[in-house]
Amino acid sequence: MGTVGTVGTVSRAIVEPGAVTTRRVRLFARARRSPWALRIGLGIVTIYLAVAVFAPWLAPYDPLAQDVMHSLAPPSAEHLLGTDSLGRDLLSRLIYGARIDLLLGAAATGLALILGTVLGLLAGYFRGWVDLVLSRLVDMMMAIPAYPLLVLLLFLLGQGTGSIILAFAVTGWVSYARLTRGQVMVVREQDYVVAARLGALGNLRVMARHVLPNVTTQVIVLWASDIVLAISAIAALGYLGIGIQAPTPEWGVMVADGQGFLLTNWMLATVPGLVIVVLGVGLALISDSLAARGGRR
Amino acid sequence: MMRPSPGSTGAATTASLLSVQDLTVSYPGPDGPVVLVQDVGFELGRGSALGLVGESGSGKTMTLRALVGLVPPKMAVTGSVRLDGEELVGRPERVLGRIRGRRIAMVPQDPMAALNPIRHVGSQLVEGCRLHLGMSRSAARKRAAEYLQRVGLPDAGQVMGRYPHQLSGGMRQRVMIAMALLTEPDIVLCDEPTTALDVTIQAQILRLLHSACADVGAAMVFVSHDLAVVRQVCHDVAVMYAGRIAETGPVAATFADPRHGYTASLLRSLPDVDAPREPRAIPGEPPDPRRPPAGCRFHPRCPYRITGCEELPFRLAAIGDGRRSACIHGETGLPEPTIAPAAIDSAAIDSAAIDSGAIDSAAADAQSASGDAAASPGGPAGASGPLTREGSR
Amino acid sequence: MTIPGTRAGFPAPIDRAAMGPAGPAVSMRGVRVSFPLPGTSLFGRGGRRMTAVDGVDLDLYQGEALGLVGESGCGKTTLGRVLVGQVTPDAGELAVDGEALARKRSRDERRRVQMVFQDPMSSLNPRLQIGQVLAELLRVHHMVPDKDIGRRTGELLAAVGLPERFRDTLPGLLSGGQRQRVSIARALALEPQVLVADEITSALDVSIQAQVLALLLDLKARLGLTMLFISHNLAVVRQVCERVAVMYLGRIVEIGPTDTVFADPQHPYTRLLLSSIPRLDGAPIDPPDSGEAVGSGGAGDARGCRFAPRCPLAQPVCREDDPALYGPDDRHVSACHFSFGRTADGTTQKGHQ
Repeated sequence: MGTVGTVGTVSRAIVEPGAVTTRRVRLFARARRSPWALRIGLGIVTIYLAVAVFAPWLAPYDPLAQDVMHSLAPPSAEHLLGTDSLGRDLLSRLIYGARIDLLLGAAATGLALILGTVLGLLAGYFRGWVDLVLSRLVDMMMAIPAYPLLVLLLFLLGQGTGSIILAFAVTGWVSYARLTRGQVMVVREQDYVVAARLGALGNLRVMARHVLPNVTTQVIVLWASDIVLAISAIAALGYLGIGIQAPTPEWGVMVADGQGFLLTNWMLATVPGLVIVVLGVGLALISDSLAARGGRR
Repeated sequence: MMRPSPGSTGAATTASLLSVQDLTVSYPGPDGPVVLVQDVGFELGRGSALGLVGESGSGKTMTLRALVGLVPPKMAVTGSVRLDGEELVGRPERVLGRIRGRRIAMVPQDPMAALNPIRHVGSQLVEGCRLHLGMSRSAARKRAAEYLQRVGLPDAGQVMGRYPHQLSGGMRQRVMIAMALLTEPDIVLCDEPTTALDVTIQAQILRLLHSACADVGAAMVFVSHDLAVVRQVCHDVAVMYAGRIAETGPVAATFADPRHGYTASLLRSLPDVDAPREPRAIPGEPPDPRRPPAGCRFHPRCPYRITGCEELPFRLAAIGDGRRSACIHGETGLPEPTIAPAAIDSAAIDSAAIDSGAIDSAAADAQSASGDAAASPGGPAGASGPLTREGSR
Repeated sequence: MTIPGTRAGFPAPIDRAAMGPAGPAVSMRGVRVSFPLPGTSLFGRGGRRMTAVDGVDLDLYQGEALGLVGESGCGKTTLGRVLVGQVTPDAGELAVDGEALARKRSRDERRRVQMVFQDPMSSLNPRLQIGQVLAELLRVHHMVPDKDIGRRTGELLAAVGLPERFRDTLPGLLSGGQRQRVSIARALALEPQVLVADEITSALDVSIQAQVLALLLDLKARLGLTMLFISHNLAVVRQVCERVAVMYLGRIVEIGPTDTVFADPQHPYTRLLLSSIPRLDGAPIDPPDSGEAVGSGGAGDARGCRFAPRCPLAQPVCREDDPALYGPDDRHVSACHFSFGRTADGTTQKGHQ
């Protein structure tokens, strides 16, 4: 912001902190707040959701159906995107993959959200030893690198969607807890919460009706960006052979499988990768827009 | 100790240091420009002090900022602001930057926002000296220390080494005053400088402002919502409402004999520490700048309203003795209130704010207006029984 | 003792005869509150503390408004919060209508003392409609049968001059003055005996302030409310309160009928406050240059009168001996060795009883 002080120096800073910005920053900020950002983001995510929901009607083939006779076929009228090494239709696998990735991403982060938010709420509201215990726990978890822990848990828990959800919940709750706790500590001191407590409304009611609804905006913003990361993580883990088992169609696994054929059937690896990226962009646009608006309330 | 001597008045004089005419500030809204300050004009003579009073939404703070071009980027400023004949409106930032600090200084409401929290107070003062006066570091330090002493901080050396958060509110404000004065500006703009201070500290700071400006020979524009403070410190006053000046003139005369419905209503609504008094509320709320009332902007809420007020062009007219008023009663003086506050026309208030958010508030104000203006000395209506609408008073 | 329930129409005046013995409505004795200063150890007790309220005795009488004035750091807000139950004092007793309040108040005890806050912007839950806020309180405390909740909500809103329509409005659409009215309605929903108003007009424009004050006076008269009116604005206190207490650095230094205290202040600090207030008639304000309040942490160290460092009348006795509240009758008392015409040797000058 530069120096502040006499009116002659950075005078704007006195009257409007943040008014001194470069042109690029201003354009960028405007883009984030543009309704188009949110619309495009929502559009993308809606399309993905629709694809996931209507997969059985959209996919031309059973994603698990093998046809070794026609393996590694290039795009054609019968297989719009070609087939993979086992003759399975790439397009169908992509479509069904939406179910896996979206569902998994949402569920895994959702559980982390619920767990973390509740713990953060309790810690921030009651303070005292509850907060003490939780804060130390958070510190401990943060000292452990997330991905190695994730991988370790998945090894221990075995393959499958249940394990993924659980593993993500265990590693992911921390950010939600910290965020919620911080927000709750602020909201708790607001006069309307004090008034509710003075009205002898009972802690549970106060937390549920007065505190929680006023901290959810930030949590949702975090969730949106968390889903992006979770899906990328799931894909990466699938790429590494952890988490999702074959033959379940999962985009990350598909990227891994297609790696060996980059020179011949490059679409096998790149298209699933692109699909992941576009979803990531869509979610990021949503969370960015929400974040940009969140301050305006 | 603070009896100000009469200074400039509303009429343009050849000796005017600052001459403002038709100053208008607006920003582009969805349905056309929204005007926050409209056609504001006044004169400020050398060494005199002008108070700008008004409530929220009156435009007083925006006017102050517009004088030196400190309005937010999306706002448009038109009109004329002449400093010693030199036009300031529309000048490039570079030029204005040199004028600010050097010739026009500012004492803001919240010193914590204006002081850099991670630098010593002394370094900020020194920076001002060097930037505006081109002094060497040691000369600047000496000057900074000298001014700190002048504002009543004898321990200047110690104070200069402190961070803003280590000083009390009163001390911080003294530092801001020192910072404003050390370039010996022609004008000091004060934006509610004592609002955040305790009353005993406020008294000290007001006295300081008055004497320090007199010492340096600086003129002052003092924005405040507190009429009594302005009475203490200023020679002249401009009362603002809904972006326009309602009346101006020497402060004593204006407060003793108000010539605008708003000024009078405002004075009557002030509690008096020396005598218990039934507060006479002004019903309703200030208008939405997007949909101002026709004619006089105050007329829907005015107890002196007569026919013609809703068509009156809100323009200042000279009424003698250096005073100007935009009120229909300006020249003749205010009559007895023609309308009991309880009977203020709710429809008129409604029409003043039609958009969805404000319509509820406006209608509610109309109802609350009839309920709350404490006009009936006989006490409230019957206490028991089903509650009737208060408007039946 | 229960407060009369659903009479036809609200608000109904409090039936004084049913209130019990005519003692003070609120009685506070020896209240002491301190807060740990930042930088103290994790587990509390070890570190330095700042004393906000240092031994306050206060009585509020039924139906009166007592003004509590002072500058920042004097402890008035903290005292209000103790009364309301938000802050637990380190020491002291608190009784409402002669019944001592437990440290951890019961639902019924909480209902008796309610508060209206300073900041209209943060005193209402932005996510709840006004009607929901009121209904919740009414329901949880069983103030009225469930079927009457809607009607009662309407009555509460009407009592503060707001149309029934506002039941379905979110606070974001209301102005500051309107929000304060809603806050008052909320405080009254539980039909409390005592209302603590904590700087309720400080954040409002002057003309709106007058509206809210008029409303408050009206309600006080109709309901016979007992009020603790905290404010730094003495003029407002003059309009509203029959008695006033002046606080300085955690203690009450003067207390008495408002008119008397303001017309003939008996404590140098009160005089300083009054003479610092700018007047509309332009009478010059000329308080003696009195410096600023010494830090409020030093409660334990100072032996004499806290105000002595700033006091124009300070004598050696002031630095040795902390004056107690004294007055010729108990109505108007002041904590100064030289109040009511007393001199250093304890005699009283002519002109004072």
